[in-house]
Amino acid sequence: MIITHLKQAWQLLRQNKLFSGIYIAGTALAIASTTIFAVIYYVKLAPVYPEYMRDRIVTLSTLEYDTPYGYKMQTAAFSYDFLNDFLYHLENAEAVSGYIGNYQLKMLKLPAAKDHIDVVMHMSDPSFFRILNYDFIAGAPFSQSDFESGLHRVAVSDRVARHLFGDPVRAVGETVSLDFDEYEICGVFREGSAINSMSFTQAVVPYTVLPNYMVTSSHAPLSGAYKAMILTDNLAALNAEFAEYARKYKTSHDGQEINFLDQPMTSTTRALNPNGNDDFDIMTALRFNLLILLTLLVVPALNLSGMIASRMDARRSELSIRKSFGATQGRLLSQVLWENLILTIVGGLFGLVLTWIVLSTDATLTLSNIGTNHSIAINRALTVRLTPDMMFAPAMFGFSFAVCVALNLMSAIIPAWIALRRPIVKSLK
Amino acid sequence: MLKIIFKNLWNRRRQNGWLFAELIIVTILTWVVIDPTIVGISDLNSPLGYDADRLVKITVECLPDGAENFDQDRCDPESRENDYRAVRLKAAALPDVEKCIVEVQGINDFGYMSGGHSTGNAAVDSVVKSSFTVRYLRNEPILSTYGIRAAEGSPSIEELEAMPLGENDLIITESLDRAYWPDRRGVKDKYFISWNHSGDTIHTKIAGIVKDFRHRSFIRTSAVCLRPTDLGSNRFYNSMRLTLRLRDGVDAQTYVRDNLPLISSELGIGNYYVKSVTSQRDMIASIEDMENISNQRNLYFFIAALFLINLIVGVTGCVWLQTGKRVSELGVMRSYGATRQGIIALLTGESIVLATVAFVIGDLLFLQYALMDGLYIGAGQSEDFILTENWVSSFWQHFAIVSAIVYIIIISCSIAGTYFPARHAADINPVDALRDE
Amino acid sequence: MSEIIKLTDVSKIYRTKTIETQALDSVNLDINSGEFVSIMGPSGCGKSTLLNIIGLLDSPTTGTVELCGHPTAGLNDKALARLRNETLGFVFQSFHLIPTLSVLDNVTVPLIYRHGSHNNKKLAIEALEKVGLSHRVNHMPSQLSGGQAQRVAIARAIVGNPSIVLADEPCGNLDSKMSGEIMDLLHNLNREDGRTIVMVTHNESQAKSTDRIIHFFDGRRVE
Repeated sequence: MIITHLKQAWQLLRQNKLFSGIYIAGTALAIASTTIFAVIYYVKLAPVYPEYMRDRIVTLSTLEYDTPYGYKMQTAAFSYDFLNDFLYHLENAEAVSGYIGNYQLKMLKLPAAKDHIDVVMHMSDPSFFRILNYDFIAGAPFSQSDFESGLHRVAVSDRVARHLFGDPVRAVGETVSLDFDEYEICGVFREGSAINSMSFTQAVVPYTVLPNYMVTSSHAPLSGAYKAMILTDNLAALNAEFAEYARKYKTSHDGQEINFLDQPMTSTTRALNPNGNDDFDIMTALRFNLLILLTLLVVPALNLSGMIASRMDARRSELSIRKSFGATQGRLLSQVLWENLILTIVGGLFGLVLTWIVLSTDATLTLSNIGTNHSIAINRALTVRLTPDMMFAPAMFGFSFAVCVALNLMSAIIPAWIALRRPIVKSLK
Repeated sequence: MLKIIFKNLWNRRRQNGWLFAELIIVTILTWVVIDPTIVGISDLNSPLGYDADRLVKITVECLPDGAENFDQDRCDPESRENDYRAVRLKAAALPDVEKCIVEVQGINDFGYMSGGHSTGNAAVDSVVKSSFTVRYLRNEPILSTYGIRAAEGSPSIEELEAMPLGENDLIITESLDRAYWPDRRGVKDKYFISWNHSGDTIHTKIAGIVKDFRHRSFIRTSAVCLRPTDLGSNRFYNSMRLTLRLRDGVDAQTYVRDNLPLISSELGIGNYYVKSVTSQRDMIASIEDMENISNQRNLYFFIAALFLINLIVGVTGCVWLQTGKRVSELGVMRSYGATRQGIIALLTGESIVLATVAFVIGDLLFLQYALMDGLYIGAGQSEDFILTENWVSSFWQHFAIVSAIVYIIIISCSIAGTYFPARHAADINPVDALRDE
Repeated sequence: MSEIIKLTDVSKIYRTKTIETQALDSVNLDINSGEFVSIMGPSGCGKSTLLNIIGLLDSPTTGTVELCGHPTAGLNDKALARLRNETLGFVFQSFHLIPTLSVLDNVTVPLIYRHGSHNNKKLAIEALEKVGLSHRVNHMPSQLSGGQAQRVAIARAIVGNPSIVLADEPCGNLDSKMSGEIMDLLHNLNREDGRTIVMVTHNESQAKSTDRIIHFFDGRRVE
């Protein structure tokens, strides 16, 4: 019976080219807009390269504390002492990486060359590559001993390596200049998408190359340049450790308090609230975004409902004839729904194509703001591109199909039901 | 005609209901996304209050220890200071430069990205107003370089720049002056009072009053205090920011393009190298980028465009399908003397009336929300700092202006969606329309 | 009596991609003011095409049409619309009442398209009185019987006081009793108001009651 429905639906589609065209265009728009939203959410929330362990990675950056001079201080990054004395010794962490720099642009060039390119650089420790699953195409990250001795070693992305040397493998062992400081390339990794603000990097060097990386100001003992990523399986225990640290800190520091401002922060919170505002409420952020997503569906659904309502009128006599020959209302309703589902799925396919087209343009930079409570500043020097595994994730196909079905039900049931309930005689007149 | 339109709409309410609901929702959504966009565009395009056209910003930094060209002999504090002064002199001597200053926190430059403008509350007779503080290096002619103008009753710019101003001499903007002293012009006996950690009273003298200017391109005119400061420790020597005012008739962008190699070689003295050279206009644009102003606006445009395209598709679909069923009706009208234009006018009129009624309802619904939560005031702005009135801060004016724009958008989309099907319907031969089955 | 409708050598050819159909072939026709003429002929003989051409809804492929002494060739859409509005009234076999408008509003339709028309409501009620339906002004078309609907259509045809009424099988969808009523009404309009009526019909007895019968066959007039 479904086959018959589908056959008829296909005929209807071909016979009413105009209706079908507008209907498919409307559906494609709805699917494209919701799928774009979904892709951006997916990229921000699901495990994607190189943040495959995203659900286990928590972060810490902002601190608020009392200084020895009696006033409160808030800092966007913390000191080496705090990193070294406390974070590196966390018991409930599998790995801890301290790093400097988010979207820090550095001038990168070959030592003798005049022209340079701007690259995003992280200064970090070897744990950086344990927490982020960067694929190394050639060479390896700088080693623990490189790190400890402050050697000028850099791991660069394949794009950077290709730009400078043509072949990523050839790059290993070569020397480059980063802001006029020379480094030897130790490895080449596959670049991620700039949409992931925390992990996106094109060059990683040990922070120990800084001559004064350990220096901490006596005026602001916890303020510094470091942020941290922590890999953990037990967030509750980790939080307890932080609370314990704050308690001990207060006793050992004359009642001075330290406040972690709802950190360590999970990837979900970070994705939706990149500025780390402490008045952030995850439900508010989600509600706002869900509202937009819903209206992105409701508006086209109203469109389609209007069109279906109009078309049901035009088909009244056909449906009445079917009824007079014994079709039940339920059966006719299912017929109408199946017919529309065909159109919706065709529209959905167009919508997916539209999604890919939009997301492979520079509009991605703009769209990466979707779903964030506060905006993320992405340097205009960067081209934000999504990687294929982000664009063609199987989950996306599932999502789009589910949206198609939902859209179909939302838009077709009510007008179809209203039309079908009308008495036969009236319709046949 | 209008009566016919109303009757047609009313009698087709079952078919039009969906479109009507959509129009209401889209009206509200258009409000939500268009309001920030209009306010943003208005904020970005209102006058800056200073002359940003012939300004060039140069960032000069010190090579790190161990860099290929690092000169070990020139890294002691004394050589550094000498080189620093030499860079400054060379910058002032660059071609077409009228004025040159070194800055701590420039107006709308990266300074505020790294250092941050402090926000101060100073009291006068227990009245406290919020203001931004921009610190500038003592004795640097910041006012004339930026082209900031003196307010009525204040010493002139030349006089102010000739005065030996110290930490406790402020130059404030006109709106802040008027907020504290609404009926007294001039700077005579005007002080801010504050207290330090030890509880001592500090009197900060108002040395000058200048016309309002916008220290950030994307926010409205806010209260600003300019506070002179000294180049304290030698940490400033690690990097310096220079602002050049070019001669009349020189275009800053062209100047930067043409003179980049020259600037880099001239100012590369000792361990200093030129990190960036950009015109003030380009810098403003890149700060808007970094603050995400442009992205956020583009996102709003994107969402608005989606809804409006949806609306056009919806209107087109509904009108097309409905006119398809109304051919005989339209044929009768044609046979009784309706012209093609008459048919188009009727169908367009129906859409306009439908959209207008929906707009009024949507607009009133949004008004309920606006009365509770207020209208959009601008990106990163706090009303506290804005002491001047304009259409954005006046609720009803704001509501009326944005309502009018939303209405124009909704009506345009409705007409756009109706036009083609209406023309198609008008083109149908009445003979075909009236053929008896 | 003067000629109010004059067709000279009117031919009409319909072309589609594959077929050419000659609907009218060199038709000459003169109808005098005040005449009640019926046109008869088998289906597809071109009667309706002829009526449409007289009604300026369609234009001839060759030949000229004059209404009230005015040649109509070369008139633009606006002028044609005006001429239709002022001189012609249409009655259709399937009534073609606008389903979303009340009886009164349906009758008012021609007046909306007339410049400087006042008292539309009064005129519409007068027209409805003439067809004996003044008690049904606020009904919707779906609430009327076939005969009533056709009477409303006739009221609509005469409300603008046109000199010519074109009726395309006005009784085609009605039973004999109602047909009689409609024919009486048309005769009244012809006799009392002096309107010229051109009626297409299949019904011999209805045709015989008119002043003149014109027979058509295969797009030509046959005597």
